[in-house]
Amino acid sequence: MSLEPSSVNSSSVASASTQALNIDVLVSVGRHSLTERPRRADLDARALELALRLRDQRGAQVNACHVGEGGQRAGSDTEAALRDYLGMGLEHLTWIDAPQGSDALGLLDEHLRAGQVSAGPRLVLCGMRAEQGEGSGLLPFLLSESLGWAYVPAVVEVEDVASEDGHWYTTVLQALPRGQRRRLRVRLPALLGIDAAAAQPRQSAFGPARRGRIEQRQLETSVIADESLANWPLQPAKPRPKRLKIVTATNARDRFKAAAAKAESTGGKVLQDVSPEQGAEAVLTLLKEEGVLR
Amino acid sequence: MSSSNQDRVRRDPRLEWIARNRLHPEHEQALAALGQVGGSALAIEWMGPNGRMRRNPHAVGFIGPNGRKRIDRSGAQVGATDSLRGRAGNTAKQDNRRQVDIAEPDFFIAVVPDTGSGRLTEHDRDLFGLARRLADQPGVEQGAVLAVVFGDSIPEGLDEAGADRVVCFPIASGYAPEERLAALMSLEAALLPRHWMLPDTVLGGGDLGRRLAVQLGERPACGLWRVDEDEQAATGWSCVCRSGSGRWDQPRPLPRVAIALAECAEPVVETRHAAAEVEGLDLVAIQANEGAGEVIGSSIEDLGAVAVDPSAIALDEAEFILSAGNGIRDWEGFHHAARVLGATEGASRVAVDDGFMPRNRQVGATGTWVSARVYVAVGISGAIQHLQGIQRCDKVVAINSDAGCDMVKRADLSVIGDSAEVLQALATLVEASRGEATSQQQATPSDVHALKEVRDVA
Ligand SMILES: Cc1cc2nc3c(=O)[nH]c(=O)nc-3n(C[C@H](O)[C@H](O)[C@H](O)COP(=O)(O)OP(=O)(O)OC[C@H]3O[C@@H](n4cnc5c(N)ncnc54)[C@H](O)[C@@H]3O)c2cc1C
Repeated sequence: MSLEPSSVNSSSVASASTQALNIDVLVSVGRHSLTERPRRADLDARALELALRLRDQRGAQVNACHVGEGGQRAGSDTEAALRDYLGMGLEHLTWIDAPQGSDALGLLDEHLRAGQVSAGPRLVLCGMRAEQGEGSGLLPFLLSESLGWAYVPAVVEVEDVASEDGHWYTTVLQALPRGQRRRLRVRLPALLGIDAAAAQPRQSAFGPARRGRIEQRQLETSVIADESLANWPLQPAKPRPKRLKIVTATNARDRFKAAAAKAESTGGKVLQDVSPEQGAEAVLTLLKEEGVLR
Repeated sequence: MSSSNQDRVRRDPRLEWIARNRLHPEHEQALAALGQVGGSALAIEWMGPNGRMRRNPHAVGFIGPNGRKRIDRSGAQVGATDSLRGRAGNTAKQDNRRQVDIAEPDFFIAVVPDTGSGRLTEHDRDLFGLARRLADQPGVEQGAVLAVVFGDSIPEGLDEAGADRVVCFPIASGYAPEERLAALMSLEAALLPRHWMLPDTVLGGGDLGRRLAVQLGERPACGLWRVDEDEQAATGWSCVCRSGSGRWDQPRPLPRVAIALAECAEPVVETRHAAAEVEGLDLVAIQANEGAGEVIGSSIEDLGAVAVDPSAIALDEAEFILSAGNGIRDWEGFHHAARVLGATEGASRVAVDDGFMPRNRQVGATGTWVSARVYVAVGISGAIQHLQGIQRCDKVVAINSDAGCDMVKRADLSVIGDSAEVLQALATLVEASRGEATSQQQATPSDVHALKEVRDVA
């Protein structure tokens, strides 16, 4: 890292008292993959977990918000799922009314713009994909475009929030394939998409879930129907066909071999009667060729 | 005179008689002489005395591994008479792909492969296959598949994957979605591809493709897994997209931006394409565009990879596994080697059952199915239950004292020797090379200071 950690920490601590970090968490209703019961969505719960940790560590202000169908609230599936989030230690949660099949983009845009109270740093956390509906993971990209904020997907940890030259920056860890991590420095305000590799969400406790308030909100923005869903309705997924092994051999012998023979030895190199050093040398060369040695 | 000499066929009845008697000691020589083949090679076919083609059935085929004669009637072995004498036949793999060149394409289908670690992935190849389907519409129009790659060099195999044209943007491999997006947008302005196709991977095409679609004001097809011809659709194609949860399908017309899952189409196998770099593109404009992107200041800065504790990585995700079996006596040495190499530890069932390794480190049928780039099996015999677990590994290295065990047959590189000694030597080697590297870094601290000063002045 090019930043000196000491200076970064001091500035962030000093400013934390004056300008608290403001975090919005976008939560949705999930569904258990087997039982199909409504529950908190796993990725969104991880996002909330990350926000709550930032609240505990550096006094960030956390607001959660859900856009969804209002109507009959008490006892509905949506309410049960939202109370799961409250049970994680949240005092209140905003529920923005939207008729079924409407586009959440405009509503979220308005809500987040209105939420800008101070000049303090601003973060929006969300899961990378919804568990219900289209689940294409497109919403954060659209939101980042309409708000003009940066979007970083696959975030697993927020390491630091600090100001430099009058701008706020955050350093985050991004999950790469194969368990690797990458450190990014992002200018705030920003949206962070939380990856499944982020910390496990804490359990939802019954008492706080009961006590937490769900605040209903109506927005002025005219609701637009989600044209994608309206034009092209979802259907239950059909199992995808298994790919057949294509053999393009021109003669019967090769085709037979491809169909019947089990994988033969690939004719690897065998080093026999070599000293351990020579053997180690050969292994090291292969490791370097493959680039797995750091 | 000379011509009549050539026409006249001279017979040697004795030679013919020997050639018919395959038990005769000079049988092979006689056959060779009759076939007028020089040296000792056997003739399979020759012109008979009456001008008819004669064939020697005994010269056909080859000697199989157990000394028996084998005849292969597929035609693959014809002419390989050398192997009749136990010599290895010529098995040079011939290339029978058809070359396709598209000089004047009517439109472009742009494919942005992930090219993980400099190679095309299987997912990329499927995507190129899909792009070829869209480009090669029978009848009216002929499109060209345009590969868009980022980095210093163009990855190999684009021609076999099915790319007619290539554009390479010299953007480093770090995370720079905004720069890449600017490059794609400049290409959009220059060539206006009919479709953009990207693989639906979290940080690769999935990220870039959604950004591109948002910029273009398109609703992309995410999680696309099937494309069909459709007269009613505006583009002539319809597609089916899988929802994020995998429970829903969404059939819809194929939009301009398609972000496709793996196995969305068959990869190209029969043809080879030009994969020529696009010329006449206004690269200056593209570079100027990129510059503009930088002036605005990208809001995301890549600070580089973070060292991850390899033992914290789940076994099925790990890239480099050092696996221990019953052939390990020196467990301290094994753990030390894993630490030095930075490898994730794995184990065979015996090592786990004996209590040397935790259960969550077991590789195999009843353990974890791993997909490492490099799997080093130390003292593992290669029981089928274990080999099943490493099917998806790229390179397998065996360190074993038994040259005949199954793991050696599976491995790409085997070192026959004592596990403890080889691991010890390996750890020492790596430590030595690391030591050199660090001493080299220490040699230039003044440069670092100089750099810092320059920055401070600026
Ligand atoms: C239902 C079932 C499920 C199973 N599932 C699994 C599974 O998931 N995973 C799994 O691994 N096994 C599994 N097994 C067990 C499997 O069949 C084998 O018994 C096991 O994999 C053997 O482990 P090994 O290779 O470590 O030991 P061994 O077979 O004992 O092999 C030891 C190897 O080390 C070599 N060696 C010995 N000394 C040295 C030395 N000093 N230096 C170098 N090499 C040395 C030997 O030559 C030998 O090749 C399963 C078995 C059953 C019946």
